[in-house]
Amino acid sequence: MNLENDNKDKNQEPEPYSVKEILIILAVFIAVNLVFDSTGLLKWAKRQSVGTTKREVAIAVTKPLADAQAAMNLDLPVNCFKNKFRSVSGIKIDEGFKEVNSDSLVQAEMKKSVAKQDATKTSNSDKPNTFSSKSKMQLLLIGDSMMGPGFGYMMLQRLATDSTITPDRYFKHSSGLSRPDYFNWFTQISSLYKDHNYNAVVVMMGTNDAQGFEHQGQVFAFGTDGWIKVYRERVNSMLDLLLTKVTKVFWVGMPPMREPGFDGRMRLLSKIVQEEVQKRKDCVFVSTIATLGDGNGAYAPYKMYNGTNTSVREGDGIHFSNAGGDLVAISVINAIKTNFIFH
Amino acid sequence: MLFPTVEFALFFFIVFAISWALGPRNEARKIFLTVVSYYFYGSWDWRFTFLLFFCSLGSYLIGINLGKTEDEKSRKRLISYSVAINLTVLAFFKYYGFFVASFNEFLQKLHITVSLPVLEILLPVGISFFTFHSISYVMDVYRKAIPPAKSWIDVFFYIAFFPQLVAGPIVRASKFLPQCDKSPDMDSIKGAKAGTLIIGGLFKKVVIANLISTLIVDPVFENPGNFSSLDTLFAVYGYAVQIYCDFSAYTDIAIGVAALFGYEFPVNFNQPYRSASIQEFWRRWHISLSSWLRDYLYIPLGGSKGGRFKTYRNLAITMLLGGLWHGAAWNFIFWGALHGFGQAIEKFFRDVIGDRPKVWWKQGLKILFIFHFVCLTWIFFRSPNFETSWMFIGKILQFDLRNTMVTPAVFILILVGVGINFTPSIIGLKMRQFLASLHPVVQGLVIALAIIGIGAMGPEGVAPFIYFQF
Repeated sequence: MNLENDNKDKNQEPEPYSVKEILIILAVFIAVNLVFDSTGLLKWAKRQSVGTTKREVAIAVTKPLADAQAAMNLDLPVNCFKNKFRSVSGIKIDEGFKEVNSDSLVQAEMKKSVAKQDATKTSNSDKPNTFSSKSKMQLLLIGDSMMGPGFGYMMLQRLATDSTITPDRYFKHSSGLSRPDYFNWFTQISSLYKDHNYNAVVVMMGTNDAQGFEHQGQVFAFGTDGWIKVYRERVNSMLDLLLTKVTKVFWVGMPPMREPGFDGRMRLLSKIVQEEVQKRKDCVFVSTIATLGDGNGAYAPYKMYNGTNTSVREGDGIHFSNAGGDLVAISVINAIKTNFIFH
Repeated sequence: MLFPTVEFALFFFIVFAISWALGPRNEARKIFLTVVSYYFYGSWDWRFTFLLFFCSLGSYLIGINLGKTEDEKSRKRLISYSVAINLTVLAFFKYYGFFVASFNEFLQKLHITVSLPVLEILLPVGISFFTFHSISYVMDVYRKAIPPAKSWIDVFFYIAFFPQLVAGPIVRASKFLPQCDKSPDMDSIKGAKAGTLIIGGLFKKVVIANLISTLIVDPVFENPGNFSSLDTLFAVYGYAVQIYCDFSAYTDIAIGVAALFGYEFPVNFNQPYRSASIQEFWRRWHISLSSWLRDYLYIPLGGSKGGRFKTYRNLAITMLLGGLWHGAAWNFIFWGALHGFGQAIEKFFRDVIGDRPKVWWKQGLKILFIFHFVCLTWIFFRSPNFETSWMFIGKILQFDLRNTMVTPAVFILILVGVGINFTPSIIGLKMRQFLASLHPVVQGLVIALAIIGIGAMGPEGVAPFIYFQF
């Protein structure tokens, strides 16, 4: 009996592998993923940009596997595990990530959300217009990452010292109106409205919307007449939903963007939103072009802030720095104060 | 292209298969891996592949010229040019805006109306890492730790190799280039090490770091005024766990991926939160950066050999620049200064009191103290500005014990994140041994189920790694 050698073996690093062994492991890894997580792979495939070959190929490969997986209930173990983990840990999934299988279902979900909220609509006489420190405005801030650090953050900072407004913020990176198959703002807003009585909403989203989408089985490329028509409908459905409870909606337009192509796309989106918002007396469009643009309304990385020429945008040329976010927050809060009575 | 994505998985499978199919053709293999590394880097922004190319070319040419002369004056001149150029590139892209804005603000305070021109400069991903790799190469050649690379491809491959390109670890040229001399052995891949590192890394990033940031860190750091002392204290603990798990996860996955290609990367984290001193913390945290700063900055400045005050000075400079390396903002410099100051104080007491025998409960208290010191410095690292940092600290000191954010899930995530720092190393060995003991088919099954499980536990969406911003 050689104890010393036994102990030495127990503390030895395992033998190295050959390339053949690694390839076997990888092949099994891929096979198991295709068998047990095709649904996840299909979800990934569908989240690619609509109208691209990458998406078409990815869906063509993963959809038959996902269908087969669902037919044989092979997605059951993963779903059970996911649900069990969430219920034991108390970690909730946002309503906006509720699973949808196709865009026609997404449309149905949108209509359902609006109809449900309509049923519990607050009448105009119950929507107050006057607020004070004793009767504070409950303000909801929603949007994509533009409502995150920068603008959303500075709104919260400014309103922290305002005794007449209580803000509540919910934002989701990579979200918008173009891809409710990724994150559905309609179900999310319904969920936010369920437990709170808001008086006004500030919306800032659109940076992720300059892409094609599927609508009722048809693919619409960004900027086409069909795309614009559907996007207008979605903006209106969003406004309808938001106005079931609140007195006013403030929609913040996109600022000038550094990259010219992206800037053009954002201006188109803002134009559509502005046109729809300005048709309604309960909605206010807050433009950021003058606030954050140069004298000609073009992209300006630096603006005067507290007397100093300060960087107002992040390195990506899209998001706001805190200084830029604060400049926009000032305009938005001014708009809110102008449209309501505060004592 | 982030690590925990389907895109990276597809990229990896293809690159892995082709690189090993090239077999013993070492030059072809290195060229292939360099080209795909450029593709990997270009997926962020293709324009910066030119910067990467010229940094690499510059380093290669300086190396060649260092090898051609023994004249110390010429060698010093060459190394100075190279280091100056690399640091200028880094300073321009990363710090121009910060220094100009700070300088203009300073001039404004003096009521001077002249100001330096402000420019908007794009920050290339990973610039802090590949410029340090370039400097490491030329310094190691200058110090004769390695001969100049005969083939340009070795230098280009070393600097661009994709697992470490955008967020480290900072691999020394003297450790990596000798590995390039021959093609890795097809029968000597450290598969168990790679597998456990990749699974462990994904768990730390996708489950612990992402969940803790969503559940407590982001909401509380955004608006500490809205939360109690208990919430803010646990948000700090949460951030300590988040940054450790996030960063160590990336480098673990990078080390694991490199191992699958047959290359050895150094360990970058060694259970830093079990440190009983700040000096020890920096021997365990981001080891590749702290050792780089020690060898290329602290020691050339004189290290601890010039008397007590010069030692403190050298510590302060090294830590200040270490802080600045992390970002162009005063809070990073302050964070570095706190660590430098802390190390200086430690050194003073070590010199005065000397080494004492270690008593277990005293060690325990020291570890607790150092962990809380590090957490305090993380407040400045994470907060968007000094005002929020001081508000944070003030909030904790209010001793308001209402709990709105510390759910059982948050508590367990923090416990697990900190607990990883105290697990005996034998556990890692046992996991590798266990994995390797299984048939490859079973290993594939276990790894696949582990990764599917990790994906099921993580939040929706893929958050980028924290150290990408550096």
